[in-house]
Amino acid sequence: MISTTLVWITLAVFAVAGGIIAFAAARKNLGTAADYYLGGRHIGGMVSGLSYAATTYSAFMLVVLTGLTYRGGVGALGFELIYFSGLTLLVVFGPRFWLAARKWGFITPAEMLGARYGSRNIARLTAVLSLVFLMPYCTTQMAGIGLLLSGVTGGGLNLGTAIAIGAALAIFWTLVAGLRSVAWTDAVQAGVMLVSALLAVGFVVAAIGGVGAFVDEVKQTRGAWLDVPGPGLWSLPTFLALAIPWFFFPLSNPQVSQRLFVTTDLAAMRRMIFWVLGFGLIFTFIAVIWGYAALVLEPDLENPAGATPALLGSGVVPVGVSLLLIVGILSAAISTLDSIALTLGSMVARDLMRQGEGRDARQIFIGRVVVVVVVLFAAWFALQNAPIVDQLAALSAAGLVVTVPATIGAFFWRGGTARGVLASLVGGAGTAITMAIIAGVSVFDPRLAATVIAVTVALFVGVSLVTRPSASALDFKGELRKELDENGVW
Amino acid sequence: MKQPMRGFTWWLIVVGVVIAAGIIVPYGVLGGGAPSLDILMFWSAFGAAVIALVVAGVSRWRL
Repeated sequence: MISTTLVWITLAVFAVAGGIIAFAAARKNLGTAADYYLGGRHIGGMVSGLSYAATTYSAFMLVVLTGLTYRGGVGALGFELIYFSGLTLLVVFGPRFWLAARKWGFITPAEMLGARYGSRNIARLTAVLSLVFLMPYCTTQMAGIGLLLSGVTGGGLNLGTAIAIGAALAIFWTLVAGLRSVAWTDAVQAGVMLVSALLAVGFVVAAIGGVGAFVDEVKQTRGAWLDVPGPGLWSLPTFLALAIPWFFFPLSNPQVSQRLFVTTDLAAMRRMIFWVLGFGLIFTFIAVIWGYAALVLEPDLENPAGATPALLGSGVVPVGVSLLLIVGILSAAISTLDSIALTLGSMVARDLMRQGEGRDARQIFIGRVVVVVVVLFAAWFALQNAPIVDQLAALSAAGLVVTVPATIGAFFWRGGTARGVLASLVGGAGTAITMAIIAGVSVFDPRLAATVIAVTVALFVGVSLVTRPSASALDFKGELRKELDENGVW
Repeated sequence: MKQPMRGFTWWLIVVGVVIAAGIIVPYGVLGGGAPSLDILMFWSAFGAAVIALVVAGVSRWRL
């Protein structure tokens, strides 16, 4: 257990440091919507890469992935690396998103899809689906913050207070300067996440007796945890059920795909991708090693998600490093939360409420209101433990994957039509909700993701083949080809 | 135009093969043996291969 006073002091330092960074970022803002939501499309490679990494690698890593390793072993590494392999999609779609956003001035991915197929209803529906699946996902970040802070202080900092702290920081850093303050604080938080986690892992491995002793201990006492399906969790169907929808995360989740609009140029985008790759691989291994260390040092935990608080409170990690890692995990949660809130704010302002060009102040105001609502929603439901919210949060990956066929088709298939997209979004999301919430099919059952993807693709292709493209549809494939060729992009 | 697109096709094929191997090899070939680091090492190599593929894909961008 760590002293509650020490945790409070650490949180105060963290909040002040983040506040200084956010206000520094605000001084560069120009007051336009593109500036607020995309940092003026002038974010450099390192900041955008670390921001992308901090957004995509959430509290999930050191709370849930560590718990999945604790419970099921090496399959957790494979699952996370299949997710990591989804970054190959950025090679193909990164430059296309960036060029399209520059050429037509898109601010949200939903707006891009709507314009491509010539239908505002597509933008609206994509925004609604993002709200339905991402707002509950935010509750898991809040719950992660609560679990961590109350766990390491032995309840000295109760769940409500812990969640209120996370909510206040996420709201404040987003409202100050939008994407620019989010990106700058994300970048610093990514650094804290990586350094603190590396130090903590170093201490736990040393406490076990070094790398050799650690490996020997796991082999001798937990051999099944080095195998698949291992002690039972990672059967092949479960592995596929989780890995397949998560592979498409760079395209399906607007809080990360919107990051493809923000870089200064393609050189910055390339650096961004390198930063995400480096961070992602290292952080994945840290989370898995951390789970194995918990298995050795804190065996027989009833709740595997409590592995990290248990390790931090065990005395093996020096208090200073534990406090730094607490800040790191808090950072992971807040950076994901504020990025999602900001993206949803932009989608409500531009896609749902139709605040277009020339109404920048109104777009920013609406976005700010939405940010507050999203974070408060997440905080409230994290405290309530509402089953429907938990189910939708677990369903977020399989639910959001319904936007992927339309996104791929936007750039590679001229035959895709607005009606095809609308049918695929409604049919795919309806299938996901019906199967998971009404029929009770688990997200660990591969039939869920497979059926959702099959229905979505079939409706998109089938309905497109029997309908005509809208007269106002844009031809991304043809109109971007010249720029793609000039930049040497496939 | 033909030459670059052929490169893209090959790149896509290799990506597909690597990702399929990332599932098939641990579950179909390496799984079920005596406790060892084989699967962990294989997935480490898989991660490195993904990085190599992404680097290969973006290195041809003319900036």
